Amino acid sequence: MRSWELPNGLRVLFVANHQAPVATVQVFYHVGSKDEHVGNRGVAHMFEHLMFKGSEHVPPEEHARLLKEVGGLTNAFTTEDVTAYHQTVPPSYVDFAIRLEAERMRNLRLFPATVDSERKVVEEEKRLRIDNNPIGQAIERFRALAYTKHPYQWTAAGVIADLEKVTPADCKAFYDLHYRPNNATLIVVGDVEEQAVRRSIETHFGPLERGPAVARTYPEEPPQTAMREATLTLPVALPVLVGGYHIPGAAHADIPALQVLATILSAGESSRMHRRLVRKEQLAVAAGGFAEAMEQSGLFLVYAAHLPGRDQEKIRRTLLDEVAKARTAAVAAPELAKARNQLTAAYVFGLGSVDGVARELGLSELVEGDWHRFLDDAERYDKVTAADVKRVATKYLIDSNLTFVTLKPQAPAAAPAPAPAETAPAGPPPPPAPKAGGAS
Amino acid sequence: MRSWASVSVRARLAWGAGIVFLAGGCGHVTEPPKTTGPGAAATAGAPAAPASASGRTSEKGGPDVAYWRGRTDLIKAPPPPTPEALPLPPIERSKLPNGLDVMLVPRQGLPIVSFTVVIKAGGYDEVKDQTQGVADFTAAMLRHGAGRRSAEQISEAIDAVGGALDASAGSESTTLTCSALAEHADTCLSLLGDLLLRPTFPAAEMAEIRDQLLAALGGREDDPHQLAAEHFDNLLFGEGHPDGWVLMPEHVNRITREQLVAFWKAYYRPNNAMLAVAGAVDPAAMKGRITRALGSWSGAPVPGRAAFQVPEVRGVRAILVDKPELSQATLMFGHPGLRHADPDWYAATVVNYVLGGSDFSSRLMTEVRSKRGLTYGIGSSFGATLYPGAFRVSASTRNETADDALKVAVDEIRKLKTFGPTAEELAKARGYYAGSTPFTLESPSEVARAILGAELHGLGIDYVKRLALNLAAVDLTSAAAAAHRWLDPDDLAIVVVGRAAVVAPQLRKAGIPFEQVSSHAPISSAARRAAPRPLPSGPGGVRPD
Repeated sequence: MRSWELPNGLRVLFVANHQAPVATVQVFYHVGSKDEHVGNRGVAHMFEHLMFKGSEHVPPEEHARLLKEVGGLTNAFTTEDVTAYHQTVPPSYVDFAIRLEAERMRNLRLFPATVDSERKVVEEEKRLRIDNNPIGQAIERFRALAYTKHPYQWTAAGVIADLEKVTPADCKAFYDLHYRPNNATLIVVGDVEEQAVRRSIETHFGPLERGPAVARTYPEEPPQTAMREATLTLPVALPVLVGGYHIPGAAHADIPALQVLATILSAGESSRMHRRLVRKEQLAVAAGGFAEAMEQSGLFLVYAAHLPGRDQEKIRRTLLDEVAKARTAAVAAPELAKARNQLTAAYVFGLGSVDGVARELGLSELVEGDWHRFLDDAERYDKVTAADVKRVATKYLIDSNLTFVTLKPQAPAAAPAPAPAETAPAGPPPPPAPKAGGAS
Repeated sequence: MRSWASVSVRARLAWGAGIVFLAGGCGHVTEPPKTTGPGAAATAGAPAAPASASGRTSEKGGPDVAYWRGRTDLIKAPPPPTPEALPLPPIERSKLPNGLDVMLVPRQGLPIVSFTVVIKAGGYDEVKDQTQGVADFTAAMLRHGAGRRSAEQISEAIDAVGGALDASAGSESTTLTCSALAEHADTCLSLLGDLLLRPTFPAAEMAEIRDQLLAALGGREDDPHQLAAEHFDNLLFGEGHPDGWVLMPEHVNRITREQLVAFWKAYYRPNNAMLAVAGAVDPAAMKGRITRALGSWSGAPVPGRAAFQVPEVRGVRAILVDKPELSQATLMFGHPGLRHADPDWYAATVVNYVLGGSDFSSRLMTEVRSKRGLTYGIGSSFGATLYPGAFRVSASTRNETADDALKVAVDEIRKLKTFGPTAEELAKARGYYAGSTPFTLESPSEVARAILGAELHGLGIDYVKRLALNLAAVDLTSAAAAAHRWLDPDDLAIVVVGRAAVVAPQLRKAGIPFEQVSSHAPISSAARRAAPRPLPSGPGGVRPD
């Protein structure tokens, strides 16, 4: 594990891993949907698309095509906090992948026609993933309710009305501010030698110009003081309930204890939520909880998915009752040991893919603020005590800090059709799903 | 796409619930999607997802593309890698006296071991309308009671060591997997021994599995792609072929404990199974442990499987599934394909790479999307299946341009069938497979799964080792011959899921005969015909305006 910084501010993380003839090159930019504002929500994700649409020496879509010719795979993702680009290649093409990433970091060519057409693509993706997807809508609604000031109140999918307004000039300004070496972390993991990687990075990224420092000030989210609730009624075959509590940012000292608690609640079929809601009471087909760690503040989510026709109020009560138990009773030693083993094993399993290791390093560096945290994860989980778990449950998982969204099935279309006799009549179509989220 | 490890119904449910994690844009995603390997469909997960359907994208040569035309300073790809045989770890293969085929894939490094058991029985061994769904139900019940252990004790045992234990059935086979840190290998072996040899099928546990299967069936109505795929299979394979059967809630509700026990007794036999152990294992010691755990599994003759024929249908036929709330139409069409072990499979795979198996590099993406902006994404695949499966194209498009996209895609298929791929296209495909094949087998467990899949299809370990070489051996002559033989643009099954009011007039204008059905109507054509109430359009036939 090596880390260094170029004079232009580019941080580099490198791990040699000779287990298999494969390597990955990933660039994490420290920009996500939280760097947007009302008026350009969705531009970070749109930019992820634009980065494939041509640079000075690479015509539109050629980035992916060129890598494919040598057996490489490429993709990208955008979250609230980061935008990441990754390619997995045969080791002898690491230099080529680095060259392509350096090219598009500063040489993008944005034409109005490209911006227009890609805007449509991003809008369609949003329709497909969120607007046409009941769970996507529930999450969007949830975020809009849980956050009132902070940009985490919208998701990386953005808002169509805002996307419509984004101009090529806005894109250029966004690019010039965020797509700079001093705002990025380059990660190389795989069957390659450090000296060759150093030379390659120096050659391709060395000449790129440092940009201005990015101001990271965000509207502060006022502490929540009372429970917030909403119900969405949609034609859905698998209704869902989602609850969430505000928790601190990913680097906070309480996060490991919250991760351990999430593991106790939902990892494996012996977990508390599964045992209670799926098995004992047979209310849900899936139930669990997890700590969604984000840079500035996170959410501890609990959820249940169930067949239509089950008592949603009872499911809600039971879900929250399992959370309450974590506040009132200390975790028994074997349950704590099990959670530690699960977290440790999951960590070791994750080391099996160079792509996964690079991704975790990138997220640790940018979301948690330090890549070393990836290495120390297991150690921190080992230090969590039963008292810690109870303390964080009491501190964060309380009703006044809870936001709860219920996705209710719309009758009758959502009922399962058990017999052929239930051939649907030609009746009027279900009304279009209400647009949720982002309506601040 | 169907593959040997085709996804069980319950796995789709897990995926559906998983969306809770993904849609939140949650940072810590640990399993990146891998979309590679021969036959991989290429519709989702493309980087800058498929572009403009705005109609604003210019033909190749618009102002944006003109900027790069004729330039000599553009970045070119370095020479492609040379195809080579895969350097597999030394694989130790042996047979237990009871007939169990054992393969050890040792690779030191991470202290992880993974066990994969494949039972050569699955959905293809079910009886239509009598035991449909029984294979996956049986697999799901294994960890709900086995030996002296209850469902809770089994879950406790695997969770306590942080391992993973799963059992599910696809059409061709049933797969059990157990992975754990190497120091807990015996936990896996002991659990697998109980699950395979001594399942107890507690009747009280059946309701939970039933609920999960029902939830998964309900979920397919919410997912246009899945809905299109199920309609397509039913239309192409028909009611007489298991690939065409549609699993319905009443099938799941009808399954009895006796059927589960009978399925297990008939098919879960060592002489009908294979075991692969991959990772940090000492082969000599592992063999003894396997014998102790599975040596007492008793063999028995296994019932034969009925032979199925893919019905031969001439001409074009279509189903339009009306889902008026959708802003996009999902298109799936195709015709019968070939089996994995067919001598033409390598050539057909390369032909498909050129046509629609290579994302942005493919002809379909270039012609339908980049040049005409008629789709958001389009891809095609021949599966890699035990029996002749399907060649299928799938695309998402605006409702208004569904038929335009279809026409352009069919034209491309016709062109490729007539003229075959070019030398340049073949060279690019060769480079792709030469480079990517080694790292699709990055982990020992991926190697184990690839080997088991090859064995299941009668291809042998050599198939895995020589895959890139055999794909590279496809030349212009064999590719042209395969394109001519295996592409058939005149005899197509077509499914469109979208807004019927917009799509129907297009199909009518194109002269494509179609049946219009509601998205809530039964997927099986037989079930629709059996419905006491006629469909609004009248059962079958073209719906009058």
